Amino acid sequence: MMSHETKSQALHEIERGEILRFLAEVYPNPVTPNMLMHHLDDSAYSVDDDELGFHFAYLFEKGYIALEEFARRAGEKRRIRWVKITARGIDRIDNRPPESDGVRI
Amino acid sequence: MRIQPTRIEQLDAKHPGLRLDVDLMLDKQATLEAIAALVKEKTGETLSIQTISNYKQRRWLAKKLRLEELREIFTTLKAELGEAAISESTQARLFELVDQAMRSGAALDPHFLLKEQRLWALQDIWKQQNERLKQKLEIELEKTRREMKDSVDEAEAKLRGGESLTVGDIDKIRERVFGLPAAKGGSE
Repeated sequence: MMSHETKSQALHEIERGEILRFLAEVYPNPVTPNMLMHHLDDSAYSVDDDELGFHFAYLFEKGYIALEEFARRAGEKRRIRWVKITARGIDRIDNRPPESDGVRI
Repeated sequence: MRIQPTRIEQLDAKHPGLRLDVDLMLDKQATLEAIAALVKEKTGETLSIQTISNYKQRRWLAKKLRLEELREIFTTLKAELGEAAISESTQARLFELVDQAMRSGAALDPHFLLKEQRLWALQDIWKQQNERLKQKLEIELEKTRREMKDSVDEAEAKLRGGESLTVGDIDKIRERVFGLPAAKGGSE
């Protein structure tokens, strides 16, 4: 498995695109990281935990996904319980221009 | 079991992003000829329409159908469970479980739960009908017992009072206690 340092930038972008497209397919349902990882395996875009965490952090900072974190005990590394695509993430999938709010009245 | 990569997947390893472009074109219902042209442009390789069709069937369509089925089962489950009552965390876990069940080959009919639900509802109706029938039979039985007792009590009271039993009294007992027709010759 390549780390996110050795994988090409293009491959990272493709993986993040696949994550967003999967989340859009199952919208509005939230999914566990485990389920998403299985999907990426099926799609031949396998990632490890660190890579998936990296992609989640990136997509979250962009506002494309919502997520909930938890830690079993205080001081323990926080884990992601679920993720789901946001309206902004769907706009990105649909290539909607920033000036459009996605609603035509 | 190792899955044999399709030709497009093999090319994608050398030209990252090719498969994504093909998927996006299939999403937009592009023709297989147009996809072949795209592959030629990006990789210089000439793929037959059959090769692209194989990819479409084995990967793109299989994924779409699987996701559709997964979504349908999960939506049904949520509706049955009462979506508002389930936290997002539970929903995500439940979704994963349905996904795992499908991956393990469980034959989950998209309407599995609805069918089961209907069957349970039908069984409930049968149970209620049986219960009502049982109550009705118990009432009938109690009525019959009372009539039997009345007939015997009546006959006993007559005998204690020094009276004789008539053929009519015997007929009542025959009819109420034993369910037999009146004696030939009729009652008095």
